[in-house]
Amino acid sequence: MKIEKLFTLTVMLGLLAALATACRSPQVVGAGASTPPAELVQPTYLYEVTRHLYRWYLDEAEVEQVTRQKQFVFWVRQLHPRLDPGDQSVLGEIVLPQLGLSLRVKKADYRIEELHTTVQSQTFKITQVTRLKVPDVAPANCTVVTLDMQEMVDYLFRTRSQRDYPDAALMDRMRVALRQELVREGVSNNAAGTEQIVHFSPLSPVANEVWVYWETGRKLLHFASDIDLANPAVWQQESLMVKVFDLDQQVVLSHEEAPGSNRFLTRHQVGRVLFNCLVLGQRVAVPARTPPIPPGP
Amino acid sequence: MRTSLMPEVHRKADRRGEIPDFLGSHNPACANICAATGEPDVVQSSRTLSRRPGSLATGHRSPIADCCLLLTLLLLLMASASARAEAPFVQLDSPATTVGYLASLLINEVPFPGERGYESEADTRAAMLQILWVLDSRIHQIPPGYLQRHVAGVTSQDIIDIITGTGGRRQCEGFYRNASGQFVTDQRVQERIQNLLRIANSGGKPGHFAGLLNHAQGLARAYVKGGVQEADRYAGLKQVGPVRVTGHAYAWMTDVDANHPGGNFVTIPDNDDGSLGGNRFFTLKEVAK
Repeated sequence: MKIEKLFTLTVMLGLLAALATACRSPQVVGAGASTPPAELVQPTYLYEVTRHLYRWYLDEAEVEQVTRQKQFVFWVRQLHPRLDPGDQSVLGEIVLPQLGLSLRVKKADYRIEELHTTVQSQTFKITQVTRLKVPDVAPANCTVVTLDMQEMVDYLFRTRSQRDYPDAALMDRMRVALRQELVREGVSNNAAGTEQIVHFSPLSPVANEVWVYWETGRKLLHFASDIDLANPAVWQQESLMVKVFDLDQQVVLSHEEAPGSNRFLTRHQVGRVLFNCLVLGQRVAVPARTPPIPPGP
Repeated sequence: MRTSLMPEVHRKADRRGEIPDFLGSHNPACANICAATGEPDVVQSSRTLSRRPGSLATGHRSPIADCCLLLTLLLLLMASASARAEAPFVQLDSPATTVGYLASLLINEVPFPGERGYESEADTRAAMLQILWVLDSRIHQIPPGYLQRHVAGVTSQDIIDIITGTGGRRQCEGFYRNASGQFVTDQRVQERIQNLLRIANSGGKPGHFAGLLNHAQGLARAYVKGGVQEADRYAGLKQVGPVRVTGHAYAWMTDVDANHPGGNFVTIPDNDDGSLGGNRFFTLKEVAK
């Protein structure tokens, strides 16, 4: 009799545990290989993704178009590309059908033997943003997540000026990397010999990138990596992760001016970067380099 | 050697990303490394060593001579191991040559492990091949209704011109002709490649970095020698959504900025493998002939 009671109690506890788990992640619909990782369908994560798009990609026409609707819709799925042997990274896709945007996200987890470095992200980071015509209905292997539109709008409004800056350790690493870039770029004009003013864009928790406006050099620098920026290993390989855009040479009103070239940013893109660097960003003065002391006699 | 590889390459390549390995098991570079390290000598020395203890025990040779022989063999073995450790896994052609310049572009435009957009070695290799096809299409696959300058920004049959473009309208950032007309790259391009080369040649065995650099160099050599045929995954593309397109790809841009190259370029969607190695590829809208 006691054994039967014990068995019943165990089964009930098991059922309660299963029910509690199900209640914590009610957004996930579907099962098996097509179910995306729970993190990807968490509202808090999708709010951050949308805030990143709001800051870096969306314009007012798109926002006006989508806010007329009651629900903000996401189609989420896990991707299964062929990865390198031993690579445990997880990739996913988030489609915002109302905006015609497709994002590829990645939670990296692999080792670079040559660098003796493990690339391991704490969360999914955006690796691609593409504007595409999306189908009218979600593909069968997608999980559909809907969030209340008004709550999303309120969140975006509330956080529109939120500034997330690097901590002191990361800032120090960025400063060192930046100085190397300035020296590299200043070879011809000796720019590194004087104090340089730069402006860092705020960081996003869902992207491994930071833009820097080099005011005195009239250039934009884009640092991006597959490795979390907080990982010191990133900054040991800074030459692998920076792109430089000369604001006097590489800005056009429209790509129509130089069709097919991958060299230019549009004025619109540059304006957005400058807003994030100058208005929301952090101004940093990089002191002049101390010239090396010549060896004594 | 590379010419004889081509038919096999054609058979191996398919449109879904199975990229031919130009430096596989018959890799001449591997043969060079083996020759440099004296691999056969090491094997021979080991065999000799394994037989020698018997002769030492029988006393047919003086102990001093045997010691000298052993010492010599030991030194040879150490020298061989040292040479093997120092032999580079990758050697790139000079960027001052057409082959080296093309390889520099293929390397510069794709992500390596740890870089933004890196997915796998296979994905990066596929991106290199497709970039090569964009360049080739800008010379040899100009669609009806278009002039080459509409698509490539220049009128030329020279792959270098296709890469550098003309004047301020460079086609590939960091690649241009200097005032003397020489094709050159920005300093940072070569710095990155040198860094990749250093990483690739470090460690005890070739890894992803070496594989990717060798692949780029192999592609460039094969292309300059005889062209790469039948490996363009976009060749047969006729429709993108409601838009009739020409097939082939004619531009690529970094995917992360939701960029579009302007003109009649049409984004190749993911369903057609339009995103490779962190780059988005673009075909052309079909126009009246």
